[in-house]
This record gives sequence, structure tokens and C-alpha cells, in this order.
Amino acid sequence: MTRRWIAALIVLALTAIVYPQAPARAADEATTVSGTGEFADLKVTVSQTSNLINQVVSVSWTGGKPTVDTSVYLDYLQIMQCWGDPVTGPDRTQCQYGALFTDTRGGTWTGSRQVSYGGIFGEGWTDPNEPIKPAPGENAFVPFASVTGGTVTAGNGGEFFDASTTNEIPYGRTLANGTGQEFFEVQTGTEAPGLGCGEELADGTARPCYLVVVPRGETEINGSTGDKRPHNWLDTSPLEATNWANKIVVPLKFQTIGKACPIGSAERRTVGAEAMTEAMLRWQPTLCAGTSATVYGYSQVTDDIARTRLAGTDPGMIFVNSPAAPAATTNPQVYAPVAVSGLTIALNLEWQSGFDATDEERLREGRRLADLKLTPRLVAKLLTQSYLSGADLNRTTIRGNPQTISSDPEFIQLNPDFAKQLNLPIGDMLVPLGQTDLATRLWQWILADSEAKAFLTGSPDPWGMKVNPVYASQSWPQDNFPKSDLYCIALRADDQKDHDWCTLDMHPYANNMHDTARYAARGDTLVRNATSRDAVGAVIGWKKGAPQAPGKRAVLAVTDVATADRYGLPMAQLRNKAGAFVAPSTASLVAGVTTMTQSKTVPNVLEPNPASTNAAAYPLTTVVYAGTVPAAITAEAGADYADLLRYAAADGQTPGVHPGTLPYGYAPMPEALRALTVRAATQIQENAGKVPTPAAVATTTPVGGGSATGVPAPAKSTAAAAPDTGDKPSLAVPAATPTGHGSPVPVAQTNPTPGHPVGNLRYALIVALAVGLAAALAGPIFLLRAGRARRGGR
Amino acid sequence: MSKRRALLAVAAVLVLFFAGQTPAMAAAYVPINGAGSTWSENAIRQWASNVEQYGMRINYDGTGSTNGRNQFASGLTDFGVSEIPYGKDDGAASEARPKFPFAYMPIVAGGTSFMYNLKIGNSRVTNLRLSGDTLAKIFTNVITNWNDPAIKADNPGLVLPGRKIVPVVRSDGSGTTAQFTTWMVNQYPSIWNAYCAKAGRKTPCGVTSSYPLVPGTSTTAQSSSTGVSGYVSQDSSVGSITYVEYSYALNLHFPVAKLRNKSDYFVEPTARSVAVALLSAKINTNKSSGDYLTQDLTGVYNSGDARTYPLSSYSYMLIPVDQENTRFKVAKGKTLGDFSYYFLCEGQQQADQLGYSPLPINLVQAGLDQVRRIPGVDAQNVNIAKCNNPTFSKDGSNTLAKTAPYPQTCDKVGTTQCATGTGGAKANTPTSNGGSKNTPGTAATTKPGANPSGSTPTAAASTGTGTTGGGAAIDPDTGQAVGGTGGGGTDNAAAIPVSLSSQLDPTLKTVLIVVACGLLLGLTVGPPLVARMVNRGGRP
Repeated sequence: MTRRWIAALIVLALTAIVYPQAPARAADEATTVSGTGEFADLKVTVSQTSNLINQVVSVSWTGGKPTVDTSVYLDYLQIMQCWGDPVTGPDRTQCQYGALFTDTRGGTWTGSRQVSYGGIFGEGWTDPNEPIKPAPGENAFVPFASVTGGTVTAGNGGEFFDASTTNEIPYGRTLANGTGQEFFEVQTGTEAPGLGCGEELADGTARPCYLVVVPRGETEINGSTGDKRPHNWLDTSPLEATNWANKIVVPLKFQTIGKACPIGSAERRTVGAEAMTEAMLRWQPTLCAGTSATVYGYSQVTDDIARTRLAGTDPGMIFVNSPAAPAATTNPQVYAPVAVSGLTIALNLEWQSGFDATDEERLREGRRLADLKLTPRLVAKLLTQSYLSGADLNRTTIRGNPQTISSDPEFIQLNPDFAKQLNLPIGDMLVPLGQTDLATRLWQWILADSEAKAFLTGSPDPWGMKVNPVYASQSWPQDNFPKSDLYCIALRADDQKDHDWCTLDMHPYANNMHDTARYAARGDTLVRNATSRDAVGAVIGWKKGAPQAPGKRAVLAVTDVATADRYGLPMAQLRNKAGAFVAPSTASLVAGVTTMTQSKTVPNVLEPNPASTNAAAYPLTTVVYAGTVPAAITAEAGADYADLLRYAAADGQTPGVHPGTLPYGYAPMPEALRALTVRAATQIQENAGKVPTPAAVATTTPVGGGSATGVPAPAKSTAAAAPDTGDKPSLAVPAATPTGHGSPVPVAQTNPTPGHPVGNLRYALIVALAVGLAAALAGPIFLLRAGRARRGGR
Repeated sequence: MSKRRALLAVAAVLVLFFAGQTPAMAAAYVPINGAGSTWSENAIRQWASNVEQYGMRINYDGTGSTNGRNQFASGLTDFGVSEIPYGKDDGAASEARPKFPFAYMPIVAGGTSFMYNLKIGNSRVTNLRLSGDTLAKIFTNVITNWNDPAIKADNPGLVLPGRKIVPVVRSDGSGTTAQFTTWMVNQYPSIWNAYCAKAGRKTPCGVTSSYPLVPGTSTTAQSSSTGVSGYVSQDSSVGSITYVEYSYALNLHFPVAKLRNKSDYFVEPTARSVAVALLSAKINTNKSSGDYLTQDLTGVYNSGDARTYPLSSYSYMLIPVDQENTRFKVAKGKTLGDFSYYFLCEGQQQADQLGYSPLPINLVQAGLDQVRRIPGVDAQNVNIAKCNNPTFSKDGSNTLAKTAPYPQTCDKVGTTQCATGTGGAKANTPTSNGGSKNTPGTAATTKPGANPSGSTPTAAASTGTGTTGGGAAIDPDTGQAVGGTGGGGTDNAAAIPVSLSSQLDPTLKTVLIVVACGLLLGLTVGPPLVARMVNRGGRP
């Protein structure tokens, strides 16, 4: 009866109104400011300048001179965040800049705070505009003055900022058409305590700050241009007085920084799968300000570990993509939906004109591309080391396959733009290490597509590309992203000797989906191709190489939608069962939820339905469920978890960027799901600490081995397993032995070694012999007959 | 659109209104960053994300212990994390130490575990047991095959396939390597020295952070903890084994070997068995020593407690103390102090879940003493009375160690072997009818006590189709009996040998050979004979 009621409710609400969509992010008015003098045509637009919090804003511009990108840049923008007087604006000492001084793409000191240049502008020449003069034989720097009162004179950020915390963009590049765009992380006092932006002032308002752009042309501070200088590039710091005079200042208004949770109190423990992490991190500071003042701890674990915990003696609250299979012996588990997200393929691709590109297309050089269409088969190719550059270019087992994705006709057909570009160096994607239900969902989506399934199990695609044979013999779906073609080739290191260079050096794993997105955003494929030496200088192998150069990035990453959004990465459109290409968005995720079906085994839980043909649905949508076992937790814990669920069902579903909101990338839960969450909250609160039946109390401390809690892992809900839409990968089935030749004792079963399938080839000999025998017998008979016929005809 | 805007404006006003009510917050935390150990990376990154709600920003880069020590010494990070102190491995002579005062602070305990990928037939082995010397020999290429008698002796219930062992070691400078080699140096110096000599290192060969390799062996080197664990977890890596922190095996749901301790029990590196083991750790308590608070694990390796996991240890954070240095100022001290207090107390609650073991009270106490020395620390926050560490108890004993269960009798050296899974692979290793993760088809397997010796392939081929019940399984390739040699009832895991590829039935092979020979003979000798016969017959 209840189940019917729930189902009815879901159907009603899912088809009815969805919660108001994520508000347009540009609502907090964009601001445009023009340059002066030489840069009067330059118009810089910041996408949001009020109500700011720690977030990424777009800084775009028009009317710039295209960046000269030969050896060292000319004509670029230097972008930084500063604090300063609300009336007079920022002083150059108040800017967070100079931590990336080792980046000399734009010149020797252009990334620094240094204002002494040795003798390069002529012995003894100093800039008359520059009040800071170097002492003889020493360098001079623009000091950094912190909002907290300290001053750092050493030319760096001191304790206030450094290369790993700063948000400065030393070289914003202008494209051939005079426009440019950078994504700038606005920092509050929490991230940049030296600036203190958003901190509450005495009058109760939040401290405003500034975004400062210093445009750089081709003229140096002594008026020289081009070859009249020691070299045809720039050298000086943007903080140098002459350069600083060209600055473009955009005021930034902040929200007051929320109060942090009080440290030192015991945390209420939760653990969960990565799809929940972004939301939980956002909710934590607000949850502790609730009526019970409970601080919630959160540990990111795999779905499997979370399910194991639920079955243990201390279940706490877990967050999973798929529930544990119910077992008769355990206390009842309660699940509640808390977030709608999805798995995505995030892109960091920049236009690189090929030889056939038109002049108009060349204007796009270096611009980030946001559109990419992928079919299940293309994703399968990228995840199975089937492109040559997904293994290595000389890999013989996949010889004949396209080198990269953009030399694959299937890809070019769908994404014709890439035919005009240089061959993208993409043969695989950044993937996380370890178990995740979302990997299972991805493989299920691939298997639900007949052509992708055929490819994955060894049949060539229409252009003759075949899956890497190591993968053809595996069984699918898997609950992780395998990199199974493990081998080494020789690579020349800096010591001019060959060293083993292996699959996981060429294509390393990222630790988790947070890292895949983070590294993708930096253009870092994690490839370990730099020579690594030990303390005495001997070469010991390989370490991570440099990321791809800006403007030449090409990385794909498997991550969750919220994390991709956090790093501002565009996301690929994936083909769903209806044949439509859909990228994750609030609408497509909600449509994805509507395609799900009610679990037959676990009440209140929806399961993905890969066979659904809703054209609007994003195929890799997931609903994250909170789960607990009320009988196994205390009443206090039950009340706290109920509070958390109620928050998740209400304020926690309002999209935004400030603490307590729902991070972009998640879709607000449909009303029907929220009703379930609230109901579950009540149920948990009422039943927490109460044992339902005496029989279920038998939770004695187990003896010996097994997990720390001594409980075996529950089997994953089987309803989520592979859709049985067709035959299993043929090679996973043990080959039948020919009948008629038994043995006196039972013969132990043999299994083909994975990776070296022989298949039916082994019967070729029998067949050949049979044919041979038949031919040998038939030949003379025919001859005889023919002879007889001839004789008879005489 | 305009409606949406209006809504948003209202929302913004509300937010501002409520925000305006909040009292001024305490001085903001300055972000700090550190680098080092991948052994403890999983724990540190969890703590770092949890303290975000307290307004702290901690950046951590898992670059390996050696790199972590170097970066900290060069003043490139605010803290380092390492499994071994400065100057303890073979690179000691050339290792740069910080030029400013620093201290070692214990941060998290755990077991260096041996994650492996091994299958019998189609079933994953999850209950492997290894003695110390067997393990040392595996990683020094003395034992090279899984069916080695030494491994067999450790695993009476398993019939392991004749598969090559692929030891997977770290290629980068690693504290995990240092921990493992510390144990080998201490426990099996002759095995270790012999290997080192083969690898061209100086002997006696001490503790090293970069594992020596002997060319031509099956050992493979991979970078970082994700690299070695990622390698072993592949389907194609059956036969491989590596050393890595327990949490990695948990996340990949792979099993880890139970290691034999001095009480002759095979024990898994769970939070509890590590806690018990560390009761025997000798901590350097000489405050004037440069190695103050560093560990001497000899007692752990030799602990007589039956619950001990012998390769237990903890890792250190390297922190600046007593005075500011060129990089580290008091503003950072407040962050580092509060962060340290958090992870030594509350943060240890997560340890078990993440695959580590919470630090015991003596180490926490000593750690907190070091926290108080951090320049700029908010010392009044460092209060052991409020420390919510799960190992603490009223009587001062270690709660975890006290409640740790004793191993089952089937974990004792002998003729039986527990079937229970380990690490992240909780499925039992199949006996006759397997755990949940096993594919069916293992039925044609061992019955305990059977004795099928003497069967040969020819015998098998000659007797036709009859199937004798009750006999033990025979390997179709070798004709050898497959299965237990008696012993342990249900503990006796069933086994299927792996052959390199499915081959034809031997009888069929013989038939085919005969047919082929006959054909060849018939086709060469046949036609002239037939022709002669035909000609003879045709003549009048």
C-alpha cells in the first residue's frame, strides 16, 4: 500500500512542476570597464561583480591586440585581485601578485613584484615614475601590504599567499580577433587572508575588493619597442609604476563570509561516495549553524565501503548511488534521496587550427571548445586503450586503429569541427582509481548500446577499428575503470639511456574524480615523462611532466557533474537511448530521474533504466541516497541525521554559490523525492535506537579476520547489474570441449587465460583434416566415375 | 527571466540580511600547504576537506615521502609528511635537512599491506596467508611461482596455480618502500642482502626508499601508491602482489595477505591489529634526540601478541617548531596548530573507515606536545581532555587494542585455513560452492581426502567416456591431481588450475594425428597404387 502511494506520488510529481531551475548565474550584473591611453579600445567585462563569494568568474575582453606567441609573449593581460580603500581604490602594494614568478612566458620579471632590472635598460637607468629605487647591488620589490597589517618586503606573498594559493593570472592571452577570456577564481578572506575580501567590517558590511587588469603592449618602461631592446620581448613587472598606470580596475562586492563552525566539538560521522562530496562540503558550514549546532564530519569513501559500513555495527549515515541489497538477517535499512547528479566527461579542449583551416577559423586559435558529441562506442574506445595514443603509437596488438580520437572517422562525422584542427593528442581520458557505482552505470550505458557492446566484445566498428584485445575478453560491466593493457616500452631519459616506460607512466590514474577534473582544468594528463633522479642524481625512473601549454590543451576527464562545474569545465554531450546527444544540465538530469524505475527490492529507491527512450534525459544521471539503520544508531544520532535530511530536502536544494546552497552541477531534487526525504527523516528520528525485533539484536563482536567491524560486504543490489539485453561476451564463457572423449576421472575445468583467447581457432585443425579426408576420398571417386562415364560414352 | 531576477534579488537581500546578523568571525585561517607520503595521503586529504567547514584551507600534494622531506627541507612547503625520519635510508648521506628547528609529529597509524591479485580458476583468492620469510623471498625473486612449496605450506587450504609471481614495487622515492625494507633489514637481513648484492647495491644493504631492481626478473616498478595498486587491480595482472597502505586495497576492493606474526597466527592489517601491534612500538622519548618521537619497530615485528599485524607503523608530519622561519610565520602556526589538534583527536575517528588505525593515546599526547611548540599556535585549544580520539579510555588503556578480537583458530599455522576474505575483498574464497562473487562452475573440484595419484594422460585417454564419481579432479594438461592433500574440511578451498590456453582433448589429439598421417600416406602412396590396380583391372 505504501509502495503504491509512493509510486503514485513520484509519478505525479515527476511529471508535474520541477523546482525552479538554477537561477541564471549572470544575474549579479556583469561590469565592463575600458582601458586608457594605448589601451583605450580594450573593454574588459567581469561576469559577476556583486554578491561574490569564493567562486570562479569570467573575465573577458574585446579590442585587444592579439598576443604575439613566438618564444616569449607580447600583448597580453595580467589579472590579479587586490584589496584597497573603498574610495581611492587599490594601491599596488595591496595586490595578490608575484607568486608565480617562475612562469616567464611573458618575460623575465613580468610574473614578479621585482622593480629592479640590472642594467638591461642601460647602466644606471631607472624609471623616473618609479619611486622604489634599488639599493646598489640589490634588487627592489614592490612590498605586499596585508589587510591584517603585516607587510612582506621579500618580493613574495610571505605567509599570505604563494604559488599554490594565489589566484593571479599572469598571462591572459588575446586571440587573433582581439578578444580573450580567462576564468578567474575570486577569493574571500578564507582563501586569501591577506586581502580579507568579504570579511565583516565594523559597520556590518562586507569588505569590498578589486579585480585589477594591467594590459601589456609591446613598449617597455623606457619607451623602447621591438629590436631596440636587448630582446624583442617584455621584462618588467605589472606593478612597476609605469605599467601600473595603465591598470583597469573593476570593483568587486562580496557577501559577508559565513561564520565557520566552532572547532573542537565531536562530529557526527557520515561517509559517502564522491557524487555527494561537493554538496556535503557546501552544506557542512551551514548545518553546524542549525538549531542543534551539530557539526557533521564527512569522509569520502567508495560506494562499496559505504555499503559495508551500513551492514556493520556502527552504520552512521552513508551516501551511495545504489543501495545495498536487503538481507533478511539485518535490521531494516532506511534510504532517502538527497541529491541529483551525474557522471560526466569533462572537456578542456582548445582550438588548434589545422592546415586546412580558413582564415576565419584561425581566429579561433586557442579558444576553449565547449561542444563535443560522444557515442557509447566512442567512450568505450577511449576507456579501453584502443586508440594508439591510448596505449602507445607502436603498439602492435592494436595496429591499424586510429592514432587518436580525431583520426577516427566516427568521431569526425559527429564533430566535423575537429577536421579543421590539428590531430588532438587524445587517445584516452583521465579516470579515477577504484570502485564507484558510477563506473558501473557508465559501462551499463555502453552495454545498452548494441554497436558499443559489439565493439567492446571484439567486433570491429564499420571503419575496421577493433577494441584492444586485452579488453575484449573481460566481463562487463565493471565497477571501475580498468587499464588492463600493462606493458613497458623503452624511453630515452635525460641520462641518454633507455628506461622502462610503462602503461601507468604513460596513462596514470588520478586518485579520484576531484583530481581528474582538477588536472584536466590545468591541461595536465598526469603523464610521467620527466626524468626522475634520486638524491645523488642517478636516474631512478619517471615523474610527472609539465602540463600542456595554454591555448594548446586537450584533455578529457571522467568526473561527476558538480566537480566538473566547480572547475568550470564544459561537458560532453552523450548519446542516450533515444539517439539524442545530451549534456548534463538541470533539465536533462531531472529528465534522467523521470526515466528511472522504482526498485523492486528497496523501498523509496529509484534505479536507472538504461532502456528508457526519453530523448531529453541525460543517460548518466544518478540519485544519491542517504542510508542508515535506525535500530543500530542512537536516538541522538537519529535526530541529527534527521536534521541533515530535512536540510537536504529544503534549503540544501537551492542552487547557488554560498555556503549551504546546492552547488551548480546538481539538479534540485523534484518535489516528490523531497517528500520521501522528509518522510525518511521522520522515520529515522522515530525509530533510532529502538530495536524492532529481539531476533535482530544478535550483533555480538565477531571473532577474528574480516573487516574492522567484522561484517562481510553486502552484495550490491543485483537489480542494478547488467541489463541482460543480449549475449554475454563470448570469450568469458568457457569453451565447450568436444563430446565423446571423456575421461575416467572428472577432469578439472580449465579456463582460458584472459588476454590470450584462442576461440574456435583451435578446431581449425579438425575441420581442415576432415575436409582433407573428404577431398582425398572424393577425388579418386570422381576420377573413377569420370573415367567410367568416358568409357561408357565411347 | 525578470521574475527569476526578482526572486534572486529577494534571495540576495535575505542572504545579506541574515549574514548581517552573524557576529564577526574570528581571524581567518591562513591557508597552508604540505607534500609527501602517499601512504597517508588518503587520510590527510579527508581531514583537509573536513576542516573546510572550520574555515581552514589545507593543500596537500601526495608526491612521495622522499620528495616531501626534500620540499620541507628546502622551505617549499609548510609541512611535510614522511614514513621515515631524515637520514634513515641509504640516501641519508646526501639528504638535506631543514636548516630551521623542526619536529616529528605522529599523524596516523596503519598497516603496510600486501595487496595481491590471484585467481584459482575463475575465483579470486581472498584468504592468502604468508610467512615473513616467504614474503621476503617473494619480493627478492627467490620464490617466483605461486605453487612454490613455501607458499603451499602457508596455505594448506589452497591449491595455488603454477603461475609466475609478479612483485610490484615502487619506482619513486617512497616511505612505504622504506617501511617494508626496514622490516626486511631487521627480520631477514640475509635474504635482503643477497638480493641487494644481485641488484648491484652495496652490502650489507640498509633501508632504502627506492627499491632495487634486478634486470631480467619478473619484478615491475610503478610510480606512487595509486600506480602500484592500480597495476595489481587489473584483470590482466593476475599473479601480482605489491606493498601499499591498507586503504588502497579497501578502495579497490582487493584482498591483502594475512601475515604471520611471532605467535604463529596469520593476521590482517585491520585498525585493531595495528593498534595492538603499536603497543609494542618503542618510541624515542629522548627529547634532546634529533629523532625524538620517531619509532623503533623491532618490538612490533617481534610482538608476541597473537593479534599483532607485524608490519604496522605510523607516519610523521614534519612541522616547524619554536620559532618563525623564512617561510613559516605565526599566522600559519594558528592554522597548522588547529589542524593538527583536529586530526590528532576528532580526525582519528575517521581512521578506521579509511583503512588506517587511530593513533594510541601515548602518541597523541606526545604529538600534542609538539603542536604546542608550533610558532603562533593557539595553545589553549590544544586540550587533551577534550580530545575525541576513539582509542582513549577512562583508565588510560587503548580501547581499540583492548577490544581487539583474538584470531580464529583457523588462522593459526597448521593444517586449516580460514575462508574469510580480507581487505576490500570480503567474499570468502570458494570452497565447493563459492562466495557471492564467484562464478559457478567450480563444482568439479576437490573432495577432501581423495587420493588420485597415479593417473596419467594416457590412462585418461584410453578409457572412453565413463565418469567415475568421487574421484579427485585431474589437470588435463599435466595429468596431475588437483586439489587438497587432505586436511581441513570446509576450510579446504577448492581449486582449478589455470592452463595457458584451452587445449584439445588428448584422445582427440591422438586421433587427429593418426588421421593426418593416414591422409598423408594415402595421398602420396595411394594414387600410384590405385592407378596400377585400376590399370591392371582395366586390361583385357
